[in-house]
Amino acid sequence: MTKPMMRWLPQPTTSDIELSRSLGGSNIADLVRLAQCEWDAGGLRRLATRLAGIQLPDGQPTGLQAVRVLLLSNSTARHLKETLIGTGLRHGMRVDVMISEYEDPEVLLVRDYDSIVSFNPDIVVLAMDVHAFGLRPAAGNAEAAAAIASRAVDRLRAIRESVRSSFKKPVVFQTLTLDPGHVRLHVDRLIPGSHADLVGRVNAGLSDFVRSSGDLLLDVAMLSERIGQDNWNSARHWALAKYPFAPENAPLYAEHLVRLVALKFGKSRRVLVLDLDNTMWGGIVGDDGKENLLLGPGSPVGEAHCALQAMAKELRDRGIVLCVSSKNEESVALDAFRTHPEMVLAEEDIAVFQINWTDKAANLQALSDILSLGLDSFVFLDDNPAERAQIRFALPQVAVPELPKDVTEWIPVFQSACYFETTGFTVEDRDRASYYRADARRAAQLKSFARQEDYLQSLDMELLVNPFDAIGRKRIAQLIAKSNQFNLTTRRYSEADVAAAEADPRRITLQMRLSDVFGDNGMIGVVIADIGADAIEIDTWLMSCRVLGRGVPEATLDWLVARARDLGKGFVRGVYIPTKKNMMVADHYRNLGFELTGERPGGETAWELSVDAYRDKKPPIRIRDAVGAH
Amino acid sequence: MDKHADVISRLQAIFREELDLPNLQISPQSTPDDVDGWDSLATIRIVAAVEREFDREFEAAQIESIRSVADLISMIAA
Repeated sequence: MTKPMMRWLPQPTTSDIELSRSLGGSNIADLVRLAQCEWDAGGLRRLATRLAGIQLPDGQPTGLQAVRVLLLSNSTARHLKETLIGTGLRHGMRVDVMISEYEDPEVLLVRDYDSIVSFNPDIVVLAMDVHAFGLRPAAGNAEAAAAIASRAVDRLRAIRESVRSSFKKPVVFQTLTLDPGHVRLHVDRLIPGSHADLVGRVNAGLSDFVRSSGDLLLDVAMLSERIGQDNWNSARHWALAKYPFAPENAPLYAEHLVRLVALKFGKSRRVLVLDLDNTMWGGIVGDDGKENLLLGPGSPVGEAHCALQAMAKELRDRGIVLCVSSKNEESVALDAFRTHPEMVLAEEDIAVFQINWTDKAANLQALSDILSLGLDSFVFLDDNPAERAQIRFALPQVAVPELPKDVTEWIPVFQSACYFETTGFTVEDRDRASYYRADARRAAQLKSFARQEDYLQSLDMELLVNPFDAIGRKRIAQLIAKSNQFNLTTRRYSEADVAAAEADPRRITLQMRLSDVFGDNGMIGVVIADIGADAIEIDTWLMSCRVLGRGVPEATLDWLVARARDLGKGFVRGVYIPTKKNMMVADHYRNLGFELTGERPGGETAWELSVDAYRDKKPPIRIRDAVGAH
Repeated sequence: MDKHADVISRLQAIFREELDLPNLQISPQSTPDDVDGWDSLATIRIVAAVEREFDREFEAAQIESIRSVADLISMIAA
């Protein structure tokens, strides 16, 4: 694999590559899943080969949209065929490609007329590059420049007419990128009739024509500028085989072309779902508090989150429906959204808020129902790789951009994906987002996603449980000072207190790290418990919200009960002390099977669990402690 | 493994991959006529893979003159 060009796509893993070589039978779902990764031309060719080898019983639908594409090219294009077929899978299409190449389209339409008719294309791509027009400079001659450009545009119009009368199919036009063979200087912008001036005029004329004809425009000029014209062209490949652009750019070209073709088959993205913590703003509102969020001028991270909001607002102005999906205490998160002075987005910009502790796959399903928009029109933006993986796993039809670790790098990656491509822009587009404003239409109780258990299994989680030690001391003290939401008692201890607990033989101390297929999540939980006469009494139990819904509390309790047994104790006891921020764990002990033994004014509750009656919960997590694996 | 055999085995892996023929056996005498799917465009793919594998860049004139696996071997050795 060469270096990634489409950073919004995940890179294939070793097992993905293995699967792309060996996949047989009729497993289209696996092929579509594989196609979501970034592949080079060789990888896309393998996917195309696997697709061609799939034999389905007659009449069994593939679940893919069948699309026949005719590509007319004045240069060489045969090498693009399998790249296009493989890319089609990424967009849920079974693309069949006929390539007619190496001549002017006027000639091809006559020469290959019979085979084109029998192929019966759904859409025609006029892949004409600058070499089809020559555009030899007429430096300093404005009149000649205008004539040359309008001749080129007239020619495109004539080809369009001929396609329309023969096949009555939509056409994709391409803008031109400069021919590196011509003189290209800074001064050329000032000289009518320079090559750059001619190309600019043709692109402008072509755009005007396509705007009125209702066809599609693939902006190759923009694409080449994005990666740099010197990277777009390969003089050697032009000389060797008349490749219109460097062969390593074929997957990028195909991705943009196929996305455009998909629009003609009703496949367009219209919804952007945004996470809040560390996405909409820097920090975790439930733990850090509204006043400590990184948002706005003064820090690179705060500015990056503002820029992200501005980008979302711009998309909303283009008719994209914005939603929020966040694991948070609704009142706390909404308060920050409404009242943080640096917010760029306003509450009325968001069609639906889904703020709860349910898994996001269930939330997206609910959003799709509320908005009556299919999941295949959704884009899901979340900083957390585990959330992204869960959505890709559970809802493969949702587009889930990969994001660099550094939030300041997100926007170029996201924008390069062109998720929200459309065929044009109308007044209705401008106003569409507001139609979906669904005030107070929040889905009630969501059912957790059916495949949650499979997903957790696929994470291959390991919980590393150790007593407090000198190395962990600083981070333990930090978690004790900062955790507000998943914190049963919110007792704050200094680093010295932590060291004292570590040395106290009458106390059990736990620091927990969770690792999974995505790597190490770092320290995510802390427990301090006192060894009493007949019970382990939990003094402190806290956890990072990043790993909610993964079964960590259940695994922790399995460990604690085992420890109580070892010590010959009959019970595990705990208390819940309510604060403004920890409502999410009000029922924590009840949910784990503890009995309520007492209530105090102020809402404090006491809980007890009998060790003898306890059945291990066995969530899909391996526990490894100082003693060894369980 | 001597150097020549090493080059052949790396080339064979490239040919298998680029031509999607997992059991292909090549020798220095192999030519486009006796290897399935080895046409002029396949040559360009194969050369790109050879350039990645051996960290080299060949000239258009050299690529143009490839008529056999032996030609590739001598280009790599040059």
